[in-house]
Amino acid sequence: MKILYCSYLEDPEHASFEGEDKDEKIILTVRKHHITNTKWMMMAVVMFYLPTLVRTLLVLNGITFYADLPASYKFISFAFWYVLTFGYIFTSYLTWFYNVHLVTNKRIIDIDFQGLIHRRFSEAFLFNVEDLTHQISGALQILFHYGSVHIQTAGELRELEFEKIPQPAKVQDIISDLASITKGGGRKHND
Amino acid sequence: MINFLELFSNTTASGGLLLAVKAVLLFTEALYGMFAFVVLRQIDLMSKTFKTDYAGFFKFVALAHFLTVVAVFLLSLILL
Repeated sequence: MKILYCSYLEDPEHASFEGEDKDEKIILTVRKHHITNTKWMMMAVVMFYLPTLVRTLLVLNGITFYADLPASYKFISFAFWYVLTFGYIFTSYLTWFYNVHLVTNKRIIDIDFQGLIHRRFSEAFLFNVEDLTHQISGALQILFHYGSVHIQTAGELRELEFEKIPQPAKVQDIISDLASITKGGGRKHND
Repeated sequence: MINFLELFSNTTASGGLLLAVKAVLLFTEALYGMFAFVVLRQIDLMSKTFKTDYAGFFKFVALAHFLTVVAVFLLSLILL
């Protein structure tokens, strides 16, 4: 259940990904911080109240256009508007849910869906990780403790970026320790 | 100067106006129906890429959403 709403989840249960090896295990699931959802949530609230607001404004301004419409037209337009509002909320949530960064015991994966018509699946093996940087910048990021982790690799894909994720320092530490273990260093991250 | 809002004031819902509203509604609903279908297909792709126990639930919600759009479209054809 936690996977439905957590933006940072260690050892997620019942989660896997396309191309997962049999001996591979997801160690970390990270998504954008909840605060990044504020924009679409506020938009959804506006959309919910918009018909009432518009109707009130029309009445206050003495515009009878809407009032003159037959009841069937009003019913259909209201029904369609709320289906549209629901669709907006649902697709916005799905975009957040499926734009996920995974850290396994073998690799780092960045799954990116944009606007429901674009998919990008990037991966980098832990033994290829060369340099890790995390960045927290801006008042909002400092206030809600979220930021970005940049991962430089020696592989074909030169750089991976986890943007606007919660606890970037901890994520960096986990990846760094896993990369170290994979390369034979054997250092383990502190919980 | 004529106030833009006044253009719509005291307008009775004439046949031409109703026809225009109906056309706009049907066109928008048809477009949105296509979008709802794309969402349905996209959830399939998303849930294959990142697999969780909730894929079935998302597909069910997307299907219900698509069928509701179809129902609204059919209702529009009947009622309007």
